[in-house]
Amino acid sequence: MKRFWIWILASLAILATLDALFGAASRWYVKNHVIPGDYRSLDYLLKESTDDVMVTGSSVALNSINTATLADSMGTAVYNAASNGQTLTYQLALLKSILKRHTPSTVMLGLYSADFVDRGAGARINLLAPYYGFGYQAIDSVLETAEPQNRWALKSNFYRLNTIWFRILLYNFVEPGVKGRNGFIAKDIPPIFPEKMKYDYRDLSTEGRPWEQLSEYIALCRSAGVKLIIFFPPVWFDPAVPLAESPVFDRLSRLAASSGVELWNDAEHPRFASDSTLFFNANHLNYRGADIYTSIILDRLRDMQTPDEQPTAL
Amino acid sequence: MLFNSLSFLVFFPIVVLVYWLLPVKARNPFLLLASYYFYMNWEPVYALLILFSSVTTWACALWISRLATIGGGKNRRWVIGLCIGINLLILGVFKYAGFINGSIRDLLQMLGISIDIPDFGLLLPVGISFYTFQAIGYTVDVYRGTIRAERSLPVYMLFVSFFPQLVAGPIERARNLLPQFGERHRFDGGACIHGIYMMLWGYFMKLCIADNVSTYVDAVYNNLEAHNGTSIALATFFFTFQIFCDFAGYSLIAIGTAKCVGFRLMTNFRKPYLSTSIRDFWHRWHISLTSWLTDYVYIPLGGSRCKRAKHYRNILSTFLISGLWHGANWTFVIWGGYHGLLMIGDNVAHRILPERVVSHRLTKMAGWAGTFILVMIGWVFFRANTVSDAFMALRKMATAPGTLYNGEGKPAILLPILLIGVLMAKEIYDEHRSSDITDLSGTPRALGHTVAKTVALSAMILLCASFFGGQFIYFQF
Repeated sequence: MKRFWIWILASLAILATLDALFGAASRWYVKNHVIPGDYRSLDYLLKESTDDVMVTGSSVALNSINTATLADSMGTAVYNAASNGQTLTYQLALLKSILKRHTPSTVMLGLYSADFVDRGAGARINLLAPYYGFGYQAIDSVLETAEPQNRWALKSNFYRLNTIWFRILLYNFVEPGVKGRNGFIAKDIPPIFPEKMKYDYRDLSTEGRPWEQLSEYIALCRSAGVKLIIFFPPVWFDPAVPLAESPVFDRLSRLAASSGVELWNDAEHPRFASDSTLFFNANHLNYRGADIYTSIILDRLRDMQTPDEQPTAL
Repeated sequence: MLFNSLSFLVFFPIVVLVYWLLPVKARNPFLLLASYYFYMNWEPVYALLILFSSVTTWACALWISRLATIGGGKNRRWVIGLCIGINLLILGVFKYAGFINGSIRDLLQMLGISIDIPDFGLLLPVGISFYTFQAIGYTVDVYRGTIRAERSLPVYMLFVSFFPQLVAGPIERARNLLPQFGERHRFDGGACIHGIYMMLWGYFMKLCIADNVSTYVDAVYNNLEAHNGTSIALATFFFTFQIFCDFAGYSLIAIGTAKCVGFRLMTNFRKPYLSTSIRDFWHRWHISLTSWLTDYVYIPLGGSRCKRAKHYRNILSTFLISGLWHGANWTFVIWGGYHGLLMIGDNVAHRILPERVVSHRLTKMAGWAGTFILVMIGWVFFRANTVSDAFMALRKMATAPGTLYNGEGKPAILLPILLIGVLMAKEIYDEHRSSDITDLSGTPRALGHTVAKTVALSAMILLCASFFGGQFIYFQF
């Protein structure tokens, strides 16, 4: 019996000590280094960014807009802050955290069908975990409410950085993708061009968590004086009805109109509607498609700029 | 209730604590209640099936036992037949009805006959194959006279429903487990430490390896058309470890849990991927099922003490039954048949090759590599959703290499490979030493080692586990 209790208490004490040491080391690292890989964008946004225009969203936005081209052409600082697989939960926490330090003039939020599927409060948000406890209230609250047990489980640094430590370690040696400038990541030309994916936008709900988060996102931009553009990049879908005729888009249009948000629906843009060579897969443009789409976006942004905002020719 | 659920993390310490605090007489009833609660957490109504299976086999065994004392030999045969029939009928209805219906429908369609056969759409009761086989094994043992019939119904119900091994084994033998319910257990700190340590290894295998590779395996195997041979080969390699870590992990947690309440369950896996032949593999993989099938199917069929052709027929039949036991799908039947043929091939090779060649170091190394590859090929049938999918996977692996599918990114591929390396290093280390996993001699040095290993394992689980993984694969069998 005595041996059993010694074993339990000694194991727990040593585990807790190691956990605390690991936590201290990781905090020192996050505070004093640029975290590589997937985290580089996030690290930059939280610690340094002063960009005028910020593109955000999931990989659909990340791979669609070449922000380097936009920045060069518009003569303003543009950054692609989108991140693979992230949902509106992440976008909202990110915007709240950024606004504490810096207010961009324009935010371009790229959406696609999956953003309207409620995948739970904590779906795929572990990207934020290294920044837990750094004073970003939005990040802390998102992580704590993601899972019922998280509030106490996050006290463990081992748990908090579960698998993340390996990603960070590995990204010191390899890059997660073909990295462009200003946060943009290009998708390759695939060896086989994709088949159109059958999709029914009518299956998407017009209620629930994603809508609440989107409304909060819009309100946040409005109160901070940020111009918000919501856009749907081209996708290689075979929809039962076009996005523009779906209940989701109808609700979004009304929401945008009532709150002064610019809404661009390019999901079935004619330039992309019949050319599979511009896609990496059904959801993502390849770098050739991204270049074309960026030029379309650029024209629209130029049209929106007042004459004195437009860069003068050398 | 899943071993990898939060509710089990609450359930387990409460059960262990209450069990040891209760007076000896109250412990078995408490375990019985806990076991039914454990099972009813999943689908309460299906607890009635276990109850029915328990009561029928208990009653039949007593009947057989009574008939034996009055010399009713012929009637005993009827009773055992009835008992096995009832249990197999339950298994057949709940597990195989859909499969039989579908197969008949397909056959008739091939003959151009279209008949609407109703599909009952029954939910497969978790662990039904395990407890049914355990109960049948007990009745046959009573019939053979190798054990005495258990007179107490609650004790027998506990034998069938004992929560650690209820839903995914090990399929315990009555002669091992039943007498333990009559023992007066005393708390043994060393055994409890050993039990928890085994559970931690089980969790490491399940959460860190099986659940981490499952995303990649599912992504590839559920969409084989879209993937090339290289990605399918990696997915197959991953599945090879997913199935092992999932099932052996469960078994370790089960054995460890039982140990904490003073029970000894049989070893179910003994480093199967270090096997140097197919025969060796089946002595190490799912030992409780293999030995069950040997005792209750293979030997009654005639075993090896018969003509060679009949011996091979017995091997093949046993493996086909093993395949069908695993699942109601032709992919499992083919998997069983494939292993049956490999086993026959192994027998032939052992007969032809001289002993000095078989036991040579180089032969053993080649045997290890060959066995691993052959077993991996077998898993293609086990994992594929349909037979045509399995053949497509094999064809693509042989003829269509290409760029590796990245899945959830490079870290999600490399981390499991690293952890598989850790697991195999431990397996090799354990294989080459004879002592038990933990040294429980009680010296400060031994205790220090145990603490260090426990801390390392716990930290590894917290750092590498996938906490969003799903069920244990073997629950569906």
